[in-house]
Amino acid sequence: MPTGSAAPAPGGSANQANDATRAAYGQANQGALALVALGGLGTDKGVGDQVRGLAPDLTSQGQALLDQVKQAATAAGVALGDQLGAQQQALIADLQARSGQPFDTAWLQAAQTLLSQARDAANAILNDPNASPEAKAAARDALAKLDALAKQLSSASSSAGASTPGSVDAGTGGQAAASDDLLPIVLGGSGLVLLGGGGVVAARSRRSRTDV
Amino acid sequence: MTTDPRPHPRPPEVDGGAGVSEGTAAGAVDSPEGATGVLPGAGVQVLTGPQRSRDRARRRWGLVLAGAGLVLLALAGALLLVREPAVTAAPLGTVAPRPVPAESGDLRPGGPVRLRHSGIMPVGLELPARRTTAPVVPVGTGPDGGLQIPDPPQTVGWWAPGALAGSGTGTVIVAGHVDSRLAGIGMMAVLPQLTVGEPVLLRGADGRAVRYRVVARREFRKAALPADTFARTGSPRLVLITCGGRFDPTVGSYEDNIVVYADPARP
Repeated sequence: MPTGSAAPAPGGSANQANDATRAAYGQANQGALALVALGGLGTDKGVGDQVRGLAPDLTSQGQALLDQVKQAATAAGVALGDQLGAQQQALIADLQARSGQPFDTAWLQAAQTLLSQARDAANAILNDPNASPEAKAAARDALAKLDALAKQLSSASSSAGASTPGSVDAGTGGQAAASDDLLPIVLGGSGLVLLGGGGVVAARSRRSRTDV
Repeated sequence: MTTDPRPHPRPPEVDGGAGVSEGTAAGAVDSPEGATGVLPGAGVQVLTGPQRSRDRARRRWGLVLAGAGLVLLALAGALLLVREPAVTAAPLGTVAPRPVPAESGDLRPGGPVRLRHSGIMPVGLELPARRTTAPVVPVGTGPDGGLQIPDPPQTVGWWAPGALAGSGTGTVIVAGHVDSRLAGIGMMAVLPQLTVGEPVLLRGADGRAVRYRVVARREFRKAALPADTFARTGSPRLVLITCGGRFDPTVGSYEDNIVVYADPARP
């Protein structure tokens, strides 16, 4: 199987899991695989305290989730792959092309996004009427742990400057605006020239009438 | 006692008396019948008729010129008081709708998936048509939630959590000051002049360049900057941002953002 998506287990009880259940397990599997990969990348390339501190947690949480998903999926007769999907591969490739602070900020953003995906997957299992009670309990347990990690990531993301900006303040001088005001400058300049011209004419007139 | 048979010249009217035209300088003398000369002992020149009319015309012209000058100066002053300094940018081109939810950074399944060749971290911005370049530094988001812009207005910032230049997905954000109180006009002040189709290059530290072409420009109130501007998904694009609109000197900032959209240029 090329990716971490789900399929009926070969020779297994394929009828035990419908499409929705398989999709939920596949999504959860993808999320968990991505968390493990992202955690490893953060451990290798992270430079800031936030990433270096959270990356091992992401790996361990992802691995725990992966184990739970695989166990529940096997019980439900769903076979799961162990490779990242195209989207996750692209994300990892993007992060690998970065270094330093740009890596850290992008990693924190990506971690939040993947965590959100993993949460969605856990919720999908909880909402699946065909999921076993054991699978639902595992999903609830995973959700609690993911929520705690999400809070840490959100806090780290804010302090590392990785959150999405709400505004862009890019100008403090006003010179660019003032440079557009040509009309008052032209008018003022012309006024001064005329005033000066009038003064010269008046002075000449006076000079011609004044006895030296 | 003899009488001089020659007619005596009529005593001239001294300036300041009745019948003297306005504006006559003190000490100057008019000669109604056109006599010429200087009033003896008074140091006063007597004007001939034609001279006097030329002099009046000159004075009139001087007054007209000075009056017009004053009017123009008053107009300029009034304009400076009334006009509010602003940077404006006419809208250009079409901004393609983003196939992503408003929440930026979303990578949920459903968006277009593209396996990307790895992009580059930009270190230089070039506008070849204008022979303009600027160094690019990575920036993040400040504690106040605003994008952190490099202080020198000739340097621009690349939003590091966003897409890489040349990435197959998402928006590359580059922003810079339009001007700075201390350092004057910024590199991004050129954004209102960019034209559709104009090339924009982002260069990496290894010298590789990613070429984009301007497709659109918009001006938004700062509070209305579209939420998907910073999206990390969707088709690849470059977004250049600076400030525009009215400048409020009391708070030292502009009211709007000028946003230029550029798509990857076909090789």
